Amino acid sequence: MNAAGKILRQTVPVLFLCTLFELFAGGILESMKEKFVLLPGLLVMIPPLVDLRGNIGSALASRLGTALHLGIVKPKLAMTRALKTNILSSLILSVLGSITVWLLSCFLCLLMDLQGVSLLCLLFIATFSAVVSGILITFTTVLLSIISYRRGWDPDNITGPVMTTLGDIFTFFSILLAVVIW
Amino acid sequence: MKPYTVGRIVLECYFILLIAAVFSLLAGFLLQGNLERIMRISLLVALVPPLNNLGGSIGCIVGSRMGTVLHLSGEKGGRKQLGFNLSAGLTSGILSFLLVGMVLLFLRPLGFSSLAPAFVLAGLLQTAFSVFVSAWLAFISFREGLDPDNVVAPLITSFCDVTGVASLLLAARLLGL
Repeated sequence: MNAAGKILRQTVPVLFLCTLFELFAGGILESMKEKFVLLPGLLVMIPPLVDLRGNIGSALASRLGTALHLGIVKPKLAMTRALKTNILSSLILSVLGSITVWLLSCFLCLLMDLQGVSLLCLLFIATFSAVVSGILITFTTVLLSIISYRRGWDPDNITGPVMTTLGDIFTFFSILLAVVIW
Repeated sequence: MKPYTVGRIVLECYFILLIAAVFSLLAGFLLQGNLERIMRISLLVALVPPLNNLGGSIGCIVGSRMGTVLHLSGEKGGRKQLGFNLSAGLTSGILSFLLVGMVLLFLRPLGFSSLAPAFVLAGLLQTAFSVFVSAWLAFISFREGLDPDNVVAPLITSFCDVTGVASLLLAARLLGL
Protein backbone atom coordinates (compact mmCIF):
# COMPACT_ATOMS: atom_id res chain seq x y z
CA MET A 1 0.00 0.00 0.00
CA ASN A 2 1.39 3.45 -0.90
CA ALA A 3 2.28 6.07 1.71
CA ALA A 4 -0.84 8.23 1.22
CA GLY A 5 -3.09 5.21 1.52
CA LYS A 6 -1.29 4.16 4.69
CA ILE A 7 -1.79 7.59 6.27
CA LEU A 8 -5.48 7.68 5.35
CA ARG A 9 -5.96 4.13 6.63
CA GLN A 10 -4.39 5.10 9.95
CA THR A 11 -5.97 8.54 10.35
CA VAL A 12 -9.55 8.40 9.01
CA PRO A 13 -10.78 5.54 11.27
CA VAL A 14 -9.13 7.17 14.30
CA LEU A 15 -10.57 10.60 13.52
CA PHE A 16 -14.00 9.15 12.78
CA LEU A 17 -14.14 7.13 16.00
CA CYS A 18 -12.76 10.02 18.06
CA THR A 19 -15.44 12.32 16.70
CA LEU A 20 -18.16 9.85 17.58
CA PHE A 21 -16.75 9.69 21.11
CA GLU A 22 -16.70 13.48 21.14
CA LEU A 23 -20.48 13.37 20.74
CA PHE A 24 -20.52 11.89 24.27
CA ALA A 25 -18.51 14.89 25.44
CA GLY A 26 -21.05 17.02 23.59
CA GLY A 27 -23.85 15.17 25.38
CA ILE A 28 -22.25 15.99 28.75
CA LEU A 29 -22.06 19.64 27.70
CA GLU A 30 -25.69 19.60 26.55
CA SER A 31 -26.74 18.10 29.89
CA MET A 32 -24.96 20.95 31.72
CA LYS A 33 -26.89 23.65 29.84
CA GLU A 34 -28.95 24.69 32.85
CA LYS A 35 -25.75 25.13 34.90
CA PHE A 36 -24.51 27.72 32.42
CA VAL A 37 -27.46 29.91 33.37
CA LEU A 38 -27.06 29.20 37.11
CA LEU A 39 -23.27 29.68 37.14
CA PRO A 40 -22.44 32.64 34.91
CA GLY A 41 -18.86 32.53 33.65
CA LEU A 42 -18.68 28.72 33.59
CA LEU A 43 -19.33 28.61 29.84
CA VAL A 44 -16.56 31.19 29.25
CA MET A 45 -14.06 28.95 31.05
CA ILE A 46 -15.01 25.66 29.39
CA PRO A 47 -13.30 25.99 25.96
CA PRO A 48 -9.95 27.15 27.42
CA LEU A 49 -10.01 24.51 30.19
CA VAL A 50 -10.85 21.70 27.79
CA ASP A 51 -8.38 22.99 25.26
CA LEU A 52 -5.62 23.30 27.86
CA ARG A 53 -5.91 19.67 28.84
CA GLY A 54 -5.92 18.56 25.21
CA ASN A 55 -2.93 20.79 24.51
CA ILE A 56 -0.84 19.43 27.33
CA GLY A 57 -1.74 15.84 26.40
CA SER A 58 -1.13 16.27 22.70
CA ALA A 59 2.14 18.20 23.13
CA LEU A 60 3.29 15.37 25.41
CA ALA A 61 2.15 12.83 22.81
CA SER A 62 3.87 14.75 20.04
CA ARG A 63 7.15 14.98 22.02
CA LEU A 64 6.98 11.28 22.87
CA GLY A 65 6.36 10.49 19.17
CA THR A 66 9.53 12.31 18.19
CA ALA A 67 11.49 10.89 21.15
CA LEU A 68 10.45 7.33 20.28
CA HIS A 69 11.38 7.86 16.59
CA LEU A 70 14.77 9.28 17.60
CA GLY A 71 15.38 6.58 20.23
CA ILE A 72 15.58 9.03 23.18
CA VAL A 73 12.66 7.24 24.87
CA LYS A 74 12.71 3.46 24.59
CA PRO A 75 9.43 1.69 23.82
CA LYS A 76 9.36 0.04 27.24
CA LEU A 77 7.18 0.68 30.28
CA ALA A 78 10.16 1.75 32.39
CA MET A 79 10.65 5.12 34.05
CA THR A 80 13.65 6.63 32.25
CA ARG A 81 14.96 10.15 32.88
CA ALA A 82 13.57 11.59 29.63
CA LEU A 83 10.16 10.06 30.35
CA LYS A 84 10.11 11.32 33.93
CA THR A 85 10.97 14.85 32.73
CA ASN A 86 8.09 14.75 30.26
CA ILE A 87 5.55 13.48 32.82
CA LEU A 88 6.55 15.97 35.53
CA SER A 89 6.43 18.89 33.09
CA SER A 90 2.92 17.94 31.98
CA LEU A 91 1.61 17.74 35.55
CA ILE A 92 3.15 21.11 36.49
CA LEU A 93 1.70 22.68 33.34
CA SER A 94 -1.75 21.27 34.07
CA VAL A 95 -2.06 23.04 37.43
CA LEU A 96 -0.29 26.26 36.34
CA GLY A 97 -2.38 26.43 33.19
CA SER A 98 -5.71 26.00 34.98
CA ILE A 99 -5.01 28.80 37.42
CA THR A 100 -4.06 31.00 34.47
CA VAL A 101 -7.31 30.11 32.68
CA TRP A 102 -9.25 31.01 35.83
CA LEU A 103 -7.50 34.40 36.07
CA LEU A 104 -8.11 35.16 32.39
CA SER A 105 -11.75 34.07 32.64
CA CYS A 106 -12.33 36.32 35.66
CA PHE A 107 -10.88 39.19 33.68
CA LEU A 108 -13.10 38.44 30.68
CA CYS A 109 -16.20 38.14 32.91
CA LEU A 110 -15.41 41.58 34.33
CA LEU A 111 -15.01 42.97 30.82
CA MET A 112 -18.31 41.39 29.75
CA ASP A 113 -19.94 42.79 32.89
CA LEU A 114 -21.45 39.37 33.69
CA GLN A 115 -23.63 39.49 36.81
CA GLY A 116 -23.57 36.92 39.64
CA VAL A 117 -20.17 35.32 38.89
CA SER A 118 -18.76 33.30 41.83
CA LEU A 119 -14.97 33.57 41.49
CA LEU A 120 -14.38 31.02 44.26
CA CYS A 121 -16.64 28.48 42.57
CA LEU A 122 -14.89 28.96 39.23
CA LEU A 123 -11.47 28.57 40.92
CA PHE A 124 -12.60 25.33 42.54
CA ILE A 125 -13.88 23.97 39.22
CA ALA A 126 -10.65 24.94 37.40
CA THR A 127 -8.22 23.46 39.92
CA PHE A 128 -10.24 20.35 40.78
CA SER A 129 -10.61 19.41 37.13
CA ALA A 130 -6.89 20.17 36.57
CA VAL A 131 -5.74 17.70 39.17
CA VAL A 132 -8.20 14.91 38.32
CA SER A 133 -7.96 15.06 34.55
CA GLY A 134 -4.24 16.02 34.51
CA ILE A 135 -3.21 12.78 36.19
CA LEU A 136 -5.54 10.64 34.06
CA ILE A 137 -4.44 12.24 30.79
CA THR A 138 -0.69 12.22 31.39
CA PHE A 139 -0.51 8.55 32.23
CA THR A 140 -2.87 7.50 29.45
CA THR A 141 -0.76 9.44 26.92
CA VAL A 142 2.45 7.69 27.94
CA LEU A 143 0.81 4.27 27.80
CA LEU A 144 -0.78 4.92 24.42
CA SER A 145 2.42 6.30 22.82
CA ILE A 146 4.50 3.34 23.90
CA ILE A 147 1.85 0.76 23.00
CA SER A 148 1.21 2.24 19.56
CA TYR A 149 4.95 2.42 18.79
CA ARG A 150 5.43 -1.19 19.86
CA ARG A 151 2.61 -2.26 17.58
CA GLY A 152 4.27 -0.58 14.63
CA TRP A 153 1.78 2.29 14.39
CA ASP A 154 3.21 5.79 13.99
CA PRO A 155 2.42 7.52 17.33
CA ASP A 156 2.23 10.86 15.43
CA ASN A 157 -0.88 9.60 13.60
CA ILE A 158 -2.57 7.99 16.59
CA THR A 159 -1.87 9.64 19.93
CA GLY A 160 -2.73 13.27 19.03
CA PRO A 161 -6.36 12.63 18.05
CA VAL A 162 -6.94 9.92 20.65
CA MET A 163 -5.53 12.01 23.49
CA THR A 164 -7.44 15.16 22.60
CA THR A 165 -10.65 13.11 22.55
CA LEU A 166 -9.97 11.25 25.79
CA GLY A 167 -8.74 14.54 27.26
CA ASP A 168 -12.04 16.21 26.38
CA ILE A 169 -14.08 13.39 27.88
CA PHE A 170 -11.95 13.27 31.08
CA THR A 171 -12.13 17.05 31.37
CA PHE A 172 -15.89 17.32 30.81
CA PHE A 173 -16.44 14.60 33.41
CA SER A 174 -14.12 16.26 35.91
CA ILE A 175 -15.81 19.65 35.35
CA LEU A 176 -19.25 18.07 35.76
CA LEU A 177 -18.01 16.32 38.92
CA ALA A 178 -16.64 19.61 40.29
CA VAL A 179 -19.94 21.40 39.56
CA VAL A 180 -21.91 18.62 41.28
CA ILE A 181 -19.56 18.65 44.34
CA TRP A 182 -19.83 22.44 44.58
CA MET B 1 18.01 18.08 19.07
CA LYS B 2 18.32 19.75 22.51
CA PRO B 3 17.82 17.39 25.48
CA TYR B 4 14.50 17.57 27.39
CA THR B 5 14.49 19.43 30.72
CA VAL B 6 11.49 20.27 32.93
CA GLY B 7 12.42 23.96 32.80
CA ARG B 8 12.60 24.07 29.01
CA ILE B 9 9.35 22.17 28.47
CA VAL B 10 7.41 24.17 31.10
CA LEU B 11 8.70 27.55 29.89
CA GLU B 12 8.24 26.83 26.21
CA CYS B 13 4.82 25.22 26.69
CA TYR B 14 3.50 27.70 29.25
CA PHE B 15 4.02 30.64 26.94
CA ILE B 16 2.27 28.81 24.13
CA LEU B 17 -0.52 27.57 26.44
CA LEU B 18 -1.09 31.15 27.54
CA ILE B 19 -1.56 32.31 23.95
CA ALA B 20 -3.75 29.26 23.31
CA ALA B 21 -5.87 30.01 26.40
CA VAL B 22 -6.47 33.57 25.21
CA PHE B 23 -7.73 32.28 21.85
CA SER B 24 -9.89 29.61 23.46
CA LEU B 25 -11.37 32.25 25.73
CA LEU B 26 -12.63 33.95 22.58
CA ALA B 27 -14.54 30.74 21.85
CA GLY B 28 -15.92 30.89 25.41
CA PHE B 29 -16.86 34.51 24.86
CA LEU B 30 -18.68 33.60 21.62
CA LEU B 31 -20.56 30.81 23.42
CA GLN B 32 -21.50 32.97 26.40
CA GLY B 33 -22.59 35.76 24.05
CA ASN B 34 -24.84 33.33 22.14
CA LEU B 35 -26.26 31.65 25.24
CA GLU B 36 -29.81 32.46 24.16
CA ARG B 37 -29.33 30.71 20.79
CA ILE B 38 -27.62 27.76 22.49
CA MET B 39 -30.49 27.36 24.95
CA ARG B 40 -33.03 27.63 22.10
CA ILE B 41 -31.49 25.23 19.52
CA SER B 42 -31.45 21.81 21.06
CA LEU B 43 -28.14 19.90 20.66
CA LEU B 44 -26.30 22.80 19.01
CA VAL B 45 -23.83 23.01 21.88
CA ALA B 46 -23.38 19.22 21.76
CA LEU B 47 -21.79 19.60 18.31
CA VAL B 48 -19.15 22.04 19.56
CA PRO B 49 -16.77 19.43 21.07
CA PRO B 50 -16.77 17.09 18.01
CA LEU B 51 -16.36 19.98 15.58
CA ASN B 52 -13.55 21.69 17.51
CA ASN B 53 -11.85 18.41 18.25
CA LEU B 54 -11.88 17.00 14.73
CA GLY B 55 -10.59 20.28 13.27
CA GLY B 56 -7.87 20.44 15.92
CA SER B 57 -6.94 16.78 15.48
CA ILE B 58 -6.35 17.16 11.75
CA GLY B 59 -4.12 20.14 12.47
CA CYS B 60 -2.30 18.12 15.14
CA ILE B 61 -1.63 15.26 12.71
CA VAL B 62 -0.27 17.58 10.03
CA GLY B 63 1.76 19.56 12.60
CA SER B 64 3.08 16.46 14.32
CA ARG B 65 4.08 14.82 11.02
CA MET B 66 5.79 18.01 9.87
CA GLY B 67 7.48 18.25 13.30
CA THR B 68 9.01 14.79 12.89
CA VAL B 69 10.10 15.50 9.27
CA LEU B 70 11.67 18.83 10.28
CA HIS B 71 13.55 17.20 13.18
CA LEU B 72 14.77 14.35 10.99
CA SER B 73 15.72 16.22 7.81
CA GLY B 74 15.54 19.97 8.38
CA GLU B 75 13.66 22.64 6.50
CA LYS B 76 14.64 21.45 3.02
CA GLY B 77 13.33 17.96 3.77
CA GLY B 78 10.21 19.54 5.28
CA ARG B 79 9.47 21.46 2.08
CA LYS B 80 9.78 18.25 0.04
CA GLN B 81 7.17 16.53 2.22
CA LEU B 82 4.85 19.55 2.49
CA GLY B 83 2.58 18.95 -0.51
CA PHE B 84 2.11 15.32 0.42
CA ASN B 85 1.23 16.11 4.03
CA LEU B 86 -1.16 18.91 3.05
CA SER B 87 -3.10 16.70 0.64
CA ALA B 88 -3.16 13.81 3.13
CA GLY B 89 -4.51 16.16 5.83
CA LEU B 90 -7.18 17.65 3.58
CA THR B 91 -8.33 14.23 2.38
CA SER B 92 -8.53 12.79 5.92
CA GLY B 93 -10.44 15.85 7.14
CA ILE B 94 -13.00 15.92 4.34
CA LEU B 95 -13.58 12.16 4.53
CA SER B 96 -13.95 12.22 8.32
CA PHE B 97 -16.39 15.16 8.39
CA LEU B 98 -18.53 13.58 5.67
CA LEU B 99 -18.58 10.24 7.53
CA VAL B 100 -19.60 11.89 10.82
CA GLY B 101 -22.22 13.96 8.97
CA MET B 102 -23.71 10.72 7.63
CA VAL B 103 -23.79 9.25 11.13
CA LEU B 104 -25.57 12.37 12.41
CA LEU B 105 -28.22 11.87 9.72
CA PHE B 106 -28.83 8.39 11.10
CA LEU B 107 -29.12 9.74 14.66
CA ARG B 108 -32.59 11.08 13.85
CA PRO B 109 -34.17 9.68 17.04
CA LEU B 110 -31.73 11.72 19.12
CA GLY B 111 -32.54 14.84 17.11
CA PHE B 112 -29.16 15.29 15.42
CA SER B 113 -30.29 14.87 11.80
CA SER B 114 -31.45 18.47 11.30
CA LEU B 115 -28.05 19.72 12.42
CA ALA B 116 -26.02 17.45 10.07
CA PRO B 117 -25.76 19.95 7.16
CA ALA B 118 -24.61 22.73 9.50
CA PHE B 119 -22.03 20.37 11.02
CA VAL B 120 -20.57 19.31 7.65
CA LEU B 121 -20.51 22.87 6.30
CA ALA B 122 -18.74 24.13 9.42
CA GLY B 123 -16.41 21.09 9.27
CA LEU B 124 -15.20 21.75 5.73
CA LEU B 125 -14.28 25.31 6.70
CA GLN B 126 -12.49 23.93 9.77
CA THR B 127 -10.47 21.40 7.73
CA ALA B 128 -9.14 23.92 5.22
CA PHE B 129 -8.17 26.35 7.96
CA SER B 130 -6.61 23.72 10.19
CA VAL B 131 -4.44 21.96 7.56
CA PHE B 132 -2.84 25.05 6.06
CA VAL B 133 -2.33 26.97 9.30
CA SER B 134 -0.77 23.99 11.13
CA ALA B 135 1.79 23.35 8.36
CA TRP B 136 2.68 27.04 8.32
CA LEU B 137 3.05 27.07 12.13
CA ALA B 138 5.39 24.04 12.00
CA PHE B 139 7.78 25.83 9.64
CA ILE B 140 7.64 29.15 11.49
CA SER B 141 8.30 27.59 14.89
CA PHE B 142 11.15 25.40 13.56
CA ARG B 143 12.74 28.45 11.92
CA GLU B 144 12.51 30.36 15.23
CA GLY B 145 14.36 27.55 17.04
CA LEU B 146 11.26 26.30 18.90
CA ASP B 147 10.18 22.66 18.97
CA PRO B 148 7.18 22.37 16.57
CA ASP B 149 5.97 19.46 18.74
CA ASN B 150 5.40 21.93 21.58
CA VAL B 151 4.04 24.76 19.49
CA VAL B 152 1.73 23.62 16.69
CA ALA B 153 -0.71 21.40 18.57
CA PRO B 154 -1.66 23.91 21.30
CA LEU B 155 -2.05 26.80 18.91
CA ILE B 156 -3.98 24.97 16.22
CA THR B 157 -6.46 23.43 18.67
CA SER B 158 -7.18 26.88 20.14
CA PHE B 159 -7.56 28.50 16.76
CA CYS B 160 -9.92 25.66 15.85
CA ASP B 161 -11.98 26.33 19.01
CA VAL B 162 -12.69 29.83 17.78
CA THR B 163 -13.20 28.92 14.11
CA GLY B 164 -15.29 25.90 15.14
CA VAL B 165 -17.72 27.86 17.33
CA ALA B 166 -17.83 30.74 14.86
CA SER B 167 -18.40 28.54 11.80
CA LEU B 168 -21.06 26.48 13.59
CA LEU B 169 -22.98 29.57 14.66
CA LEU B 170 -22.59 30.97 11.13
CA ALA B 171 -23.71 27.72 9.49
CA ALA B 172 -26.72 27.52 11.84
CA ARG B 173 -27.68 31.06 10.93
CA LEU B 174 -27.18 30.49 7.18
CA LEU B 175 -29.34 27.38 7.28
CA GLY B 176 -32.05 29.27 9.17
CA LEU B 177 -31.84 27.30 12.43
